[in-house]
Amino acid sequence: MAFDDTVEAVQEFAEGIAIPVLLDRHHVVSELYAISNVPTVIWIDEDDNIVRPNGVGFSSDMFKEFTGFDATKHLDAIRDWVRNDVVDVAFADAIDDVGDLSDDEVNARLHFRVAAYLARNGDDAAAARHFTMAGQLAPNDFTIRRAAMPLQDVDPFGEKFFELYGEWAANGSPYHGIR
Amino acid sequence: MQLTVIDDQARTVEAEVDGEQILLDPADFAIAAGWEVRPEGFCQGDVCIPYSATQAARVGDKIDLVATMTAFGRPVLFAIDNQVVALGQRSAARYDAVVGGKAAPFSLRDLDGKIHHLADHAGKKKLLIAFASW
Repeated sequence: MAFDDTVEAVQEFAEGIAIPVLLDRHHVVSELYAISNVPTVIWIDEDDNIVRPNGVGFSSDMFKEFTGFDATKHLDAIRDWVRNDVVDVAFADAIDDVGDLSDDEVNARLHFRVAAYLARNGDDAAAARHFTMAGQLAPNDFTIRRAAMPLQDVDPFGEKFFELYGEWAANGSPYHGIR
Repeated sequence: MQLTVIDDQARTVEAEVDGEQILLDPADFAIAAGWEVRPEGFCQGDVCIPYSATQAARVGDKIDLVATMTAFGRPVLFAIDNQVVALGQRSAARYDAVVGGKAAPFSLRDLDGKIHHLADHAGKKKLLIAFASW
């Protein structure tokens, strides 16, 4: 499920993937599940209970040097759940790490929705105002601030990203989930 | 005025704006909010919410979008300068997921435009992976 604005942006990541690849351009699921960055992985059992909450989950070690996360550990944990019903971090033990969205974080998503719509329709000045408001309401949320970059023709892997990353790190690296 | 309401997609309807109120004809309300206006209440398929459960939802023969969505527990942002309204998800559904551990139902389209519902995978283990090109 991609927090992207267009099918084209996602296409290359979906090649050869056998499971459904979904587009969440309005960030509905980012709101419903309080997701503040990617990649975030959630385990949902047969009865629709969340058994392992929002957690950082890389599928390869491509970014390991930068992020410090080991994909193998995460992938082994998934296998153990699928095969043996073993959950390495129980939902109840991690509620505090996930945390519900604040009112500001919800409002940030509404401003993002308005801004993305305006950007799509070519009203860049009005879009910029709502992207700014969204970013002020949720300064540590990458699904708001980094997702806004491609919609404003800013390189999400460029200077602006490193600025955002530095600011987020200085704020104590807040994240709705376990890592 | 023409008003665009953004929910799971953006839909443009005709609205009458009066202060905090956004008044829509029942037909436009159904388009914008996804709830039909019937004698028994606001309905989605067989599910109806009686009018008595929603405060100030009906103003004459119009429906107040903001009051109705608020009564349904959905956050609303009205960007009047841009003639755009953004609807949030039901706060209770989010709370039940994030704090209560009950997966919130959702529906999204895949890259070919085919709609998928979380409920399509009932009875199976599901891995919900949020990613992005950025």
